[in-house]
Amino acid sequence: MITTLSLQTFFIDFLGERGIACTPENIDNFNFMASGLLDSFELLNMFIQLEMTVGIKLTPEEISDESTADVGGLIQVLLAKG
Amino acid sequence: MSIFAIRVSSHQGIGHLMRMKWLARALMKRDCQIIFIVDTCPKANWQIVTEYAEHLYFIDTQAANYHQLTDAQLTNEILAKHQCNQLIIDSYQLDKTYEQAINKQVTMTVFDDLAREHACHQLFDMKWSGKQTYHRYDDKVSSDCRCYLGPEFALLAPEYEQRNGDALTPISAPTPSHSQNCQASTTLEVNRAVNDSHSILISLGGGGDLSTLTPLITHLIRLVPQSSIQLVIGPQAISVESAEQLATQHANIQLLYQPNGLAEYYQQATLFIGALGTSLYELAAIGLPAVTFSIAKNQQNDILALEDLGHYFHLAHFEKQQGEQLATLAKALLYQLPRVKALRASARLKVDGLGANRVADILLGKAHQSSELKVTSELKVTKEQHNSPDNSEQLTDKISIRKVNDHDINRYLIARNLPANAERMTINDEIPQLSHYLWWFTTERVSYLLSESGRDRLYIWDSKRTINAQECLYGGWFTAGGEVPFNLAMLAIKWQLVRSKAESSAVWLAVIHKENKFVNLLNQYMGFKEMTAREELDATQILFPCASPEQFNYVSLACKDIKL
Repeated sequence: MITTLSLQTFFIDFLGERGIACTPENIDNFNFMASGLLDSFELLNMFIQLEMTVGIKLTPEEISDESTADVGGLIQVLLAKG
Repeated sequence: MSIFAIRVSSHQGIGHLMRMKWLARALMKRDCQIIFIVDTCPKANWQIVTEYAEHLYFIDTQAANYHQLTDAQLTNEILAKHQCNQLIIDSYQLDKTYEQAINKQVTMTVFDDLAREHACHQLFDMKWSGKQTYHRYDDKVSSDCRCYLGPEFALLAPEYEQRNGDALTPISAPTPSHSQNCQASTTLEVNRAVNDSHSILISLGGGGDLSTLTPLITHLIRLVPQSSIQLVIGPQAISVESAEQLATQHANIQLLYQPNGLAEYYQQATLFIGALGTSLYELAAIGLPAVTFSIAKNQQNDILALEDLGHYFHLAHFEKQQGEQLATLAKALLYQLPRVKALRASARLKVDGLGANRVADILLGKAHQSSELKVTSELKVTKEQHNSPDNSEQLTDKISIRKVNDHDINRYLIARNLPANAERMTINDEIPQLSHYLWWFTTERVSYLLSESGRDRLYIWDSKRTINAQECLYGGWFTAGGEVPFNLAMLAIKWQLVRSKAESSAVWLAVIHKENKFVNLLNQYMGFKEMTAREELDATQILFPCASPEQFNYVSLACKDIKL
């Protein structure tokens, strides 16, 4: 079962492996596109790993939606689909 | 009665003389007297203005001791002699140095199109440079200099005048057939059936080396033998004998020696090929399809700005060796005349030919209301029309996709040639304009443009071909400018793949540069797999002959296996 905490942990770990330090307190505000810290390859990689980890595949339309632009919004969508 | 002196250049082409002639005519109609001061030049040149000159003076600008300051001194003497305090200057050779040496009591009006610094009271520049038009002289003239910018000040012959949107009066009776293809209300009906004879007008303006046109004309005669060719021999043209030799060999070539104007020839022509000078606005006023090229610095134009005038086919340069290719393009355009005419008719900016009257009124103190706002709003409207929702499909609230149309011809090439795109393609070289235009009218490729919030983001294309009884789909995408966010690429590829699901027996074949990690991963995510079947590998090498297996990954996806 996926929870907010398990998803937050996934993103903290994924970003941490790429040198982007986040904490449970600020991870929700991390904006994937606006931060400019992840290139297209890494972003796609993240969604593939996410799918393998939690078994939820997001459509390109969902990924393009503004509500999934930051971690907090993305977690809400994932929880709703989970 | 007002007296105007016009100091005009007369040996760098005849464009300056011609436009000052039309301004002089408009001023004379308003009871003004005109004094022309020209460079020492052949009679054929200065004769252009004699009809409207009360007095004509010559300054020897080729003399060893010539200097702009002595030129200004002579001008001052002429002005004083005639008690004239209105000076109009139209010369690339004269600049701020000359202007600053002119008597301070004289009101100076400058015509320029090179966006140089000036020390004058009024400045006119008819050049259209898109949004930049109204900022070309920012910080280049004093704050109290009045600038009049844009095509509404183009000084054209009276034949181009259009009042209240009336059509120009044709010199010869127009062909009534196919009138349904002509969308322009202010242009002469020139459309003819594909197999009809066409008239091709070729001009390098007042000068130019006519021998550069020999291969072009030779190939035109071969490729469109039923057409007639009219070639303008300007007063300063060189290698005239090369044109005369061609004309003696081919009855369908007519040489036009130093014509007074080209309006009647434009109106009889189906297509214009030549140098882009004043012809830009004359062609726009007539609505004649054209392929042009630059042969002088002032003819260098931003192709996207030219599109605003309905002119879509302009080459940054033209060389003799390109003659055959240009002739082939001309043939293609004649075959596709309705499409080409539709582009011309779609001009966002109309040239009404009333520039000379407008300028004369301003010079005589009549207030002028700038059309800048009107032009800007018109541009906005027509841009929206080109991207109208009817032609596009919404993928999300902000992202839409539409089929590429002829209006995209130049933007498509500009995007294709961006280094970020070219370096990832199987053909890295920059695609030349001429090759692109030719390809555009012969390709079976279908392309689409994905936009986000009205901003062009990426082009995606596909094509279909049967190889060894296997239906093969192949395609690609490239940025329209700037980096494409991964989600847009995903959306575009998904859209493309979903559309192809119905092609149950077809297979997608793709090659992806090995260094393009993102696209390799993206295609893998979309279901593409490394190609192993011999037939697919062979077909891919036929489709992408320049994609070596050392540099590119070969991947495929059967349409029946698309899981999106």
